[in-house]
Amino acid sequence: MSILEVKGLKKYYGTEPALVKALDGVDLTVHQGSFTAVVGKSGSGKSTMLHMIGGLDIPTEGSIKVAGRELSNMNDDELTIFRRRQIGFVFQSYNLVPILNAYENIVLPIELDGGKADKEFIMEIVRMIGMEKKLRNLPNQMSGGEQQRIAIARALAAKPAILLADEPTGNLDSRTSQDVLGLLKNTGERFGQTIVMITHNEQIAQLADTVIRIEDGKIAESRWN
Amino acid sequence: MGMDKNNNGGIVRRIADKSMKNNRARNFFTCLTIALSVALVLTFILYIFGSSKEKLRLQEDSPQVSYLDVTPEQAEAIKANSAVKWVGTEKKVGSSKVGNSRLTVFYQDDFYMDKDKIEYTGELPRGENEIMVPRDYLEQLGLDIHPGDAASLDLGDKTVREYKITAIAESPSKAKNSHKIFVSLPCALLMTGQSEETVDAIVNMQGAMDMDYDIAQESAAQIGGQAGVSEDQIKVNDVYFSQSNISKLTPGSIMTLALVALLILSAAGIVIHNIFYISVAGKVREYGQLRTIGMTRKQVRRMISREGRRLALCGIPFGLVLGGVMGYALVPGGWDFLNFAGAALVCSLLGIVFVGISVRKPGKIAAMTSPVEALGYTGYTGKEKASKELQRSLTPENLAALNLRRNRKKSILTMCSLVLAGILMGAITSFVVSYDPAAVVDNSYPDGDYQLQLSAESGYTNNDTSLLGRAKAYASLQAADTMGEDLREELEGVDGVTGVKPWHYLMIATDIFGEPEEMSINGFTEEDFELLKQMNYEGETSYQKLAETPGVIVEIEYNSNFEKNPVKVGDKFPVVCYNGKGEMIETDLPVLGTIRQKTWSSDNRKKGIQQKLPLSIMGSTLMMPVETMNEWAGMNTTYGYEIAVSPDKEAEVGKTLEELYGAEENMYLGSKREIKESREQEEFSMKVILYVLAAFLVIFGLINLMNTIMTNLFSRKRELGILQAVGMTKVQIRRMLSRETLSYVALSVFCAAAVGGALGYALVRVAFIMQLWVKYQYPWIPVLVYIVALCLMQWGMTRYGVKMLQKESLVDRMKEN
Repeated sequence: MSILEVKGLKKYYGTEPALVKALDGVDLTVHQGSFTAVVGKSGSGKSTMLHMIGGLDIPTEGSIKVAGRELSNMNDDELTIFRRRQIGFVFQSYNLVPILNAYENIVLPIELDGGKADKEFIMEIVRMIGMEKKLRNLPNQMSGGEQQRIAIARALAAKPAILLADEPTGNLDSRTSQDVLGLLKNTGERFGQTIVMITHNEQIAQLADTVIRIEDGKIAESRWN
Repeated sequence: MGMDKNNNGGIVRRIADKSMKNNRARNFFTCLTIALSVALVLTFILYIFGSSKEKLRLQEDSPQVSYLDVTPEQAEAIKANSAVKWVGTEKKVGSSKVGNSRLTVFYQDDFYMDKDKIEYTGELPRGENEIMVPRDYLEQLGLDIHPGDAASLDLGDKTVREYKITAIAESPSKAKNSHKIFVSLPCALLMTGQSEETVDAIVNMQGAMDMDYDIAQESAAQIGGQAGVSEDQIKVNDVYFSQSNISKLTPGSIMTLALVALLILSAAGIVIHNIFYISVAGKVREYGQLRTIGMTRKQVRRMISREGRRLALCGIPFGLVLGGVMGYALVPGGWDFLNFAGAALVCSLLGIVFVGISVRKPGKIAAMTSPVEALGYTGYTGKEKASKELQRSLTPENLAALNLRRNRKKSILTMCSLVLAGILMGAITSFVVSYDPAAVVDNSYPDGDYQLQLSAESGYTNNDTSLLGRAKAYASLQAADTMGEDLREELEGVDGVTGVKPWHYLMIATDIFGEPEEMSINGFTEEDFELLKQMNYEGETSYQKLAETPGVIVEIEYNSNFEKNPVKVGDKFPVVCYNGKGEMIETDLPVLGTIRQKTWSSDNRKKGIQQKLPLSIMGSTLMMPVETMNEWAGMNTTYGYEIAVSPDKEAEVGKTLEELYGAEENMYLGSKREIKESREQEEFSMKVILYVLAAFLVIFGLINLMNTIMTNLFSRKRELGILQAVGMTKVQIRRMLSRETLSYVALSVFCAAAVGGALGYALVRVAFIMQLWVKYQYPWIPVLVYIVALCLMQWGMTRYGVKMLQKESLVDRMKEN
């Protein structure tokens, strides 16, 4: 079953003659439970595409369907609510909320939705990421790797339709990167989570089931590992 | 270049200037705060200096000496004297009631007319029957007269004559039923029946402002002597010299000014400090980067200082213009360009200094930022290593509370300036609404709304205006029972009158201080005596014994002459007065008791008590039991009646009293309401300046709140972007931000309402003890206005700020700075 369907996605900035085509007609389908890596050089449009899929930015043209819902029909509030329920984010710079401890950061999207976190499920994730002893710590009391683990837990906590990871190891050393990537893959498999990950690193991309290459705003290649 | 060389001021300047270009909101708020604070301090300085200058200017041009009944040659001699600044001549003809109006008739030369700033239409009177009449008097008479017309009028000397009205005075008469009629000199001589032409020379002496009364007397005598004028023709105005001391600035008023300036600049300084603090906190990574690439701490500090200085140089000129305009508007008569220039210089220097002080700490903070620290900076400066609870409530409201705690220093600083503004606003408006200078009139009218009393001030030509002459005139009115029982019954019979209370007064001449002067003896009752005994009384305590022989109780504190000429129980002093038969009484009156009313009043004020005194005691130096005074003088010494009226019939009663007694030659009708209205008008500009100060403080508070909201938003752009990315809606973000700023608003409101109100109460108590006319009232309206303004600002700016944030895309907001 397709959890993500992108058709004719375009994102243009500016006007002629200074028009910048960040995305120039992208078609993409991602199946449920799959791990897809999107690779490309800097400026290829991969981050732009991720932002569109995650409802963080509005396309110039095209259609994006996540879990059967068309994002282009939604207003700002609807997108926000959709994000908290159906999309999990893992950012390059972790982006944890500094005034909340690790546990609170994890359950934040659920709490914002007025819901009650499934504590058993949360603790299962926490055990998988090995952060049981640091749940009361604030972000400035954690290393980069630890913060990224919490970010992954936050992305998984609401059981979203899709988890989007934007260069999740970009700010980490190689050893920590390996750990984090391993966690991403393992938790994805464990919970049947669909993951789309952006990376410029071909080696990292090999962890994924599918690798899509973007060049100049278009999909240049798509292959299965 | 050696390691010790760091000659790169230019790059620091350029970075500072570029930083300023990217911080327009901060620049605007800072400039506005500086401009407003400078404007306010300058306004205060110009108001205080201007008020003094205005009074001094009026004083400077006021005459101090009158040379009475001098010949034209003597007047010319006085004019030619180099010690004389200017001379005007006049001749008082007389004052009398004509119908319900009191007319005062006199002659003034053209020069003096000009000095008095009399505006008129037509030509000044010159010929024998020529006069100038005020337009409002003509309107009262219902006469349609133009300059040059003739009219038959009685000007108060009981003779109707045909006069040519050569001019109409356009300046309104100072009181409704009191008018000045200007006549020509020949007309004045005709009316007074004088054959020899004499005038009063009214003189302004050179350097009079720097003279005291004694020196002025000597100088006046010298001028008079040189013109052949005898000493008894010379009258020096002692009020002028006591007034000129009041008009000059005292150390007290300079200190008050300095205190106010300090308060204003401190309030502004806190706001500016806060603005820069938030600005620096939001650019920690940038300073870390600058430090990483090699900017020294000193260079970072200089950069921040330069930003502050540039903003000061931008805001100060606006402040000077605004302050100058307001200072002029408040006291146009006191405007002096040199004063303005001096005050502007002082305010500019103060502004630069205070801004420098305000940005110093933020500059230090920026300079102390280490590169490593900056990289990991999250804006969280909490001391806890980990939270106690696993999960706290994550509602927008609670997130707001957590945010306030994250940077306690910033929160406290913001609260400080809002709290200070609120407290000062509450205190100042408490004082303003409680200040009631018109309340002094209540003291002068303790038992009535109207006072009908004797008046012997009218008359023409033959009036004996000497001390004894006046005493005799009043005594003859009393002997004629002018204020007798018939009149009392008549007053009691007026519909709306609820009470009629007499007061007793006998005019005397005495040299209790070594020189003859006019005084009076006030009659008191047994009931009044019980009150007198509370006033640090010494002497006979039995009213009956007191009333047995003519003697007086003396108030020995209010009149400063008692310091050089003390009196005690048992002393005697000479008194001259007239009895009911018109005979002169010359006797020595014994002092039967003394009171210290000033001390008693002061002690009462310290306890918060203000006792209203009856007319028999208030302002009285010499007092005698009523029965004793009547017997001794051989007549009813009633001088006047206090008339209490029913509040809903006050105007009606006033009209009736005016109709019945307004035209009476020998009576004067006073109205409490009219005097109050006149006093309220006089104090109006003082109240305005205090309200302006309060308004400025409110504006400071609002600016600070606005700045806090906007910088709160824009310095947390990224964090708010993250929250939105993980699912916080705009409404939730607004709720969170609203709750944060509501905390500031709530505290400021509490401080204004409670702490400011309490401080205001204390201020009013102190003012009361210092004998200012105050009656405590809580400043409901200003406080409500403040609350509404803060709430509106908080609501509006939060919504506006969130809306402004949305203009940038979520992705851009989330990018690292």
